[in-house]
Amino acid sequence: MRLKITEQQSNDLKHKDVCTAVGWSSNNELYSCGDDKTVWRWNLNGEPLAKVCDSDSFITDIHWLPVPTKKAANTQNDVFVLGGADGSFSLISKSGRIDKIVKDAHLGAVVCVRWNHEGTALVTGGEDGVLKIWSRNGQLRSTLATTGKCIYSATWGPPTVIEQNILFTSGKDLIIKPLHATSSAKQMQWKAHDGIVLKVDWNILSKFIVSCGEDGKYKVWDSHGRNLYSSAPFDYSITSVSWSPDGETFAVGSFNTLKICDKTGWAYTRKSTNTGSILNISWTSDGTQLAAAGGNGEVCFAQLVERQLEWRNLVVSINENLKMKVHDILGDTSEEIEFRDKIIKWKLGFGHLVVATASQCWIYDVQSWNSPHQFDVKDNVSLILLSKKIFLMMDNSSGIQVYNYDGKLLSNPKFPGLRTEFLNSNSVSVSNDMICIIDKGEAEGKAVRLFNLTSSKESAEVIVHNMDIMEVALSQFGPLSERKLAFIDRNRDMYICRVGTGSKRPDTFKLATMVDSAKWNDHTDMLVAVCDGHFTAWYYPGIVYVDRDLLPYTRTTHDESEVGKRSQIIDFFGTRCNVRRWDGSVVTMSVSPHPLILYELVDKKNWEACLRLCRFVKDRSMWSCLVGMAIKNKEIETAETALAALEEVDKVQYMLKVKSIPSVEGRNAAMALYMRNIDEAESILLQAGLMYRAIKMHIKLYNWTRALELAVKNKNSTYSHIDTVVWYRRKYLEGINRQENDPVFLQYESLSVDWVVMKEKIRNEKEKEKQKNKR
Amino acid sequence: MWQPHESSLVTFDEDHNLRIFDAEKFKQSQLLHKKSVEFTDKIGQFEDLMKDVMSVLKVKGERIENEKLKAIGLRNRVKGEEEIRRSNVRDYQTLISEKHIELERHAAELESLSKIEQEQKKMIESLSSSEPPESHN
Repeated sequence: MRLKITEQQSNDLKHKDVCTAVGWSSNNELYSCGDDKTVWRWNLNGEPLAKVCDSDSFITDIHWLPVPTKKAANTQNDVFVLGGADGSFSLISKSGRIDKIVKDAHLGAVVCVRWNHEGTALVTGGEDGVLKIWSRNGQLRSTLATTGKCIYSATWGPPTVIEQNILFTSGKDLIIKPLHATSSAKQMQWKAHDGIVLKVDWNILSKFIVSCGEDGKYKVWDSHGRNLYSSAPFDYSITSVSWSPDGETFAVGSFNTLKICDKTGWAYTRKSTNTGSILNISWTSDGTQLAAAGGNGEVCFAQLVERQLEWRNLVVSINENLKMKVHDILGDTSEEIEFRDKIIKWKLGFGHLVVATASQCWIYDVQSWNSPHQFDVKDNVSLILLSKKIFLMMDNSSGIQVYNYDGKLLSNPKFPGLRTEFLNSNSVSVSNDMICIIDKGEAEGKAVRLFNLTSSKESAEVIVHNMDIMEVALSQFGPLSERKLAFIDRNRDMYICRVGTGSKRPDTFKLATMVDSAKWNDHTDMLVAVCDGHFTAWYYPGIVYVDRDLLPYTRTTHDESEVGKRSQIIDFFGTRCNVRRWDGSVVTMSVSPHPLILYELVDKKNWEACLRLCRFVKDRSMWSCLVGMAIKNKEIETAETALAALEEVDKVQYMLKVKSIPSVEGRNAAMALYMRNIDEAESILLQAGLMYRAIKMHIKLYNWTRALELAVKNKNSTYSHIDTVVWYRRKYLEGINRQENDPVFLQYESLSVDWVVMKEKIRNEKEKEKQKNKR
Repeated sequence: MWQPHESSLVTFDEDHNLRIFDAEKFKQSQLLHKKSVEFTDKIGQFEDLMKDVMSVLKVKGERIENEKLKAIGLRNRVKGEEEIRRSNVRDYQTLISEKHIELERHAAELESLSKIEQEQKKMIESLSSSEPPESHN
């Protein structure tokens, strides 16, 4: 990623004095203001359009009222707020008409002004060290804080349903203060820099804070004030920082310097400018361009160029904003594609390239670059996610939309409280038949909503967790019944959960702790994650729902090559996995190719070949995977062989016993029981009419109450098994030397059990099952 | 009757021209007239000369002034050069350190990739040396 800078000639500066602040309007025009008491309007290319208005006082800050969508921008009254050095602030419309001036808002100058994300409230900080909250119309709502020191910068935190925090600077400290004083929310204050903190910004998507100060450092913090990154000191004090709208990068401005950094702190690129100290930076809403206010009066425009994506043998790069180059490394061929307008978001994978420009979306097949599908988009696309057959696109006007690769709209899932401006690639996931979204509305991020795309009705399954869910990822492999969701919560614990089964109670299982990032493979069920700085792979996470004892065998950890903490997995295609380390370097990790082959063979139901492969590899992990897959597919023979190879004698014995069960349903139920699905096993048996087997199963599980329940329910049929249950129960109690005290069983206290009759009944039942199966 | 006046004695000279002044006075005034004309001519000449001199001096002066400014400018530049060089050095140093960091990143990337290459080579070797694995067709 590089910056392309457009600067004005130094003899043609529009601001005759310091340019103090800049802000992009909703239709992508830049408004700049300065100490020459004027506001100027510029277009995207950095050409001055006109002077908007004059002010009575020196202007210290500008901020546009946020508008959620392009459409709203056209209908709503577009307003920005100016802070003045005489202690006033003014609300001014786009045309330059002054809507309202609030005089004497602060003693001394108003230093910073900031709208909240909904555009319903305004915070101002002044030289007098007072922080005030104002309504949309400029009515004073409250005085939030009074500190002794000048407030150089203030910003609103990520809004949640219950609380809204405001972050502001006070000398060398940063302070987070809740807007409404409740018992649960507390003010937080910490020393952030060795010099005065000059600017602070809080991103609503990544929830990270970035601050800079006179000590020449910029620092990244999480929302609890923990330091994640601290830069080496600059030669000059750093005068401005600003998050890009997607929260992935931030811009840093210092004396004659503009820098773009990743959210983990390392720098993508640095560029020298002729601006003097950069006092303020503003990003366009699509995050492709930014403007900086120079201390010498210059307004500097910068574009992000030379972005690049890789997938298998393809490298796609944008050199100029409208031109894209596709390079095939294998054939060493290139293709150039030109677009009519600016490329905003793009994604490569699953054999497709999806490019969203300012007005259109183009879908390319990597096989044929000449015939793209295309449709119009209404707003700036904020997210594109791909899967094998479908892809997801998100913008603030139309919400979340699911398309197939022919450009046909498949679904547009909605739920109350869905706000796309708070979602990013971590909070949404897509697979062939399902999408999932973290519910940040009513559930406050503690639940995941799942939308099944195969069913016509938009039924939403909800998985509720006891803590904030930070990241979600859906598995890509297999049919809907194989679909699994991996999610990471606030404690960085990773859970796995079966979805799409329609069961009310999702069976979540904690897979790992201290997980920084996780990713599913593109065409198998492999899952990789960075756990505690180690690269870890699960070859068959589904083993959790087959045989949890084997889970440790199917997991491998690369011990010798530590990727380091806070690494992010970028992609995981085939056996190759790209991981971005905290210092910005992309390292490639690989997983063993054998599981991939195994998946392929299982997909073709070639169990013979699976066994041969495992014998060749001679690896416990492979055998364990095979056990899982075989049992899942009810392949008892294969499972038995694999378990034998693992030397799991007890399980082999069980498999042998299963094999001896005469009926198919009985075997299926026994396999379900092996997978610990008691309910499923019971329903299989009951559906097949194998009542005795069901009762016996519960007896064996010491599930006396349910056994008796079934027996009682069935007492009017030819054979009632109440006596059997009671007999086994008595025998059991005798064995452990206890008295019956269960009231349900106490009522059968007097029942006499004839052992001979009972045995006869059981024999009859078994005979019946055999007969039935023969027919 | 016209009375001749003493002070305005009108006479005739030898050429029979009518004279108001007497001959002596006339001669002197004529001389005076000639001398005056000569004098104004000379003054005029002097003035032109002075103008020339002045313009020449002015040009010279300007040139001197320019040179002086140039010299001052040069002197400042020399003084500033030190500062510029220092800041350049600083700039280049930051550039170098940035490139170093980038190099490190690429080195790490290369290292991981070569490790994978090795792994794959080993895999190929093991596959080709031992019994070939069953064909998965």
